[in-house]
Amino acid sequence: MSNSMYVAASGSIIQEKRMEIIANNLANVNAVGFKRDRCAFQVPNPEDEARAAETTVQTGLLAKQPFETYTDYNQGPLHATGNPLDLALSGDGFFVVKTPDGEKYTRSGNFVLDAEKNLVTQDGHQVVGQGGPIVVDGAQVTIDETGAVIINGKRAGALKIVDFPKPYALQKDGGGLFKKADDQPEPIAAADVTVNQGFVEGSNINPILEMTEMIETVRGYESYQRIIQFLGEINAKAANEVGRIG
Amino acid sequence: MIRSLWTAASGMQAQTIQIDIIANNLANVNTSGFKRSRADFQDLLYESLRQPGAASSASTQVPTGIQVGHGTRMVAAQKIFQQGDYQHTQNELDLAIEGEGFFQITQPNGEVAYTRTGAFKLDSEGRIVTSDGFVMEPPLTIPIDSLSVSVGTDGTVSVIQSGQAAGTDVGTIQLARFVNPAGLKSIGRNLFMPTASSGDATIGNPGADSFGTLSQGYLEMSNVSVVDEMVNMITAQRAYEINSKAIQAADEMLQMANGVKR
Repeated sequence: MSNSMYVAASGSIIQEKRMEIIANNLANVNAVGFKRDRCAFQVPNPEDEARAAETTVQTGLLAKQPFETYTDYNQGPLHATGNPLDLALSGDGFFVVKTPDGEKYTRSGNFVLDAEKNLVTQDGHQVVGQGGPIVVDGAQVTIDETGAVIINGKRAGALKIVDFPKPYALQKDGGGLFKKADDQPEPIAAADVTVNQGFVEGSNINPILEMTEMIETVRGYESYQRIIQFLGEINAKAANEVGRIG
Repeated sequence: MIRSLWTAASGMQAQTIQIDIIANNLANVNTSGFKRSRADFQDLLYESLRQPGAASSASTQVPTGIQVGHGTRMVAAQKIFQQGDYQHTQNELDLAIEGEGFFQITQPNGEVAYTRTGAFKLDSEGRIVTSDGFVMEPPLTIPIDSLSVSVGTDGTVSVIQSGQAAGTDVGTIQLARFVNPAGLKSIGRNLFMPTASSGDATIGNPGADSFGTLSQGYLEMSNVSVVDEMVNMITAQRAYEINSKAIQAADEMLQMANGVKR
């Protein structure tokens, strides 16, 4: 049997994965601080191909997955909410939150208070300040552009805002959180970022781009299916017509 | 493939809830003391098909890996306790709070609930009650022969009775305050109940700390902004639509896969 059929099959599997990523972007079109994922395709190195061909071609192609995902960390639009505990970052940086499995990073600044007046995320994870948790005890809360927290006119701490060397090697962890792998570089203090009180950062999804990519994915998938069908017909001809006698 | 169907379905479900919340906000656009809600969404767990940092050969590492998400979920319907506008009604039992406080209301089951709605009435015994007839806490009784009631900014209630020139004090309205009002639970009828997240109520007189002062003859209107809700409705509807397109696309792809074998 021809190897092309397996190449087309692995191509359609990749388009399926791409569709899953687009569907996830679209599902999160209204999620605060969401950063969209994108697929990158690699052109396989011909030398690697030749080496792979000598061994097990079919399984090699399928397992190789010549594509990867990466997250687009571009700024999302800021929406005014007027809620004093809604914070949006403009520029490169992340809020730090304390979770049961260590510090994680987020751009979702729609914070609330818990029963002890700590600033927490919607999931109840404490927002980390420069000297421990941020305690909001008072009626008037002002958070300035640098992240300093001023309560009833008195400075009561400052938010810890960090950045990472680019390109970011962060992984998404669900719930609007990002985590870093152990062997990744430690966070550094964010330099080029401002905090906007009374705003939330919307998802950075562009529906037009996602729709275009979705069309491309469906049509790409269709092409692979056509190739498989066509190869099937060739095989049928080879089996039924070429070998026919009389 | 099945995963994209479910992922897009989670997006549609989330938008459905958002429309529900917007519809409730709009339905209460004229409810005095109503506080609007906002739906907050988050992404779901990610499946790592290929770990970033995994070895791709003896000396090289995968730089970014492959992560596929599973959609979205609603994480909170947050009450926004922004101040509503004031409406001048001239009704002497209409009270508005300028500040963070809440009126305390005793429900028929004896539990105390909290409200921002100050449209009070009198019952047959002269007690100050809500429109549902629930008695204000602490209970205040207005004598039947009163000609007028006046409520000071500090909550003192005094009446002028027939045949008397000077006013008589009948008591003081006390307000409650919460550390985290967004943690309160709505129970309908404009009433809120405390939860572990809101903390217990602190009771105090109007004017002290940040309880707020009372204004007689005013009502606090709903803090729903119709324009904002309309914009939210448009984005929610379009987001719903775009997720349905993702389901259609996934369905088309499945159909093609089924068409391969004839």
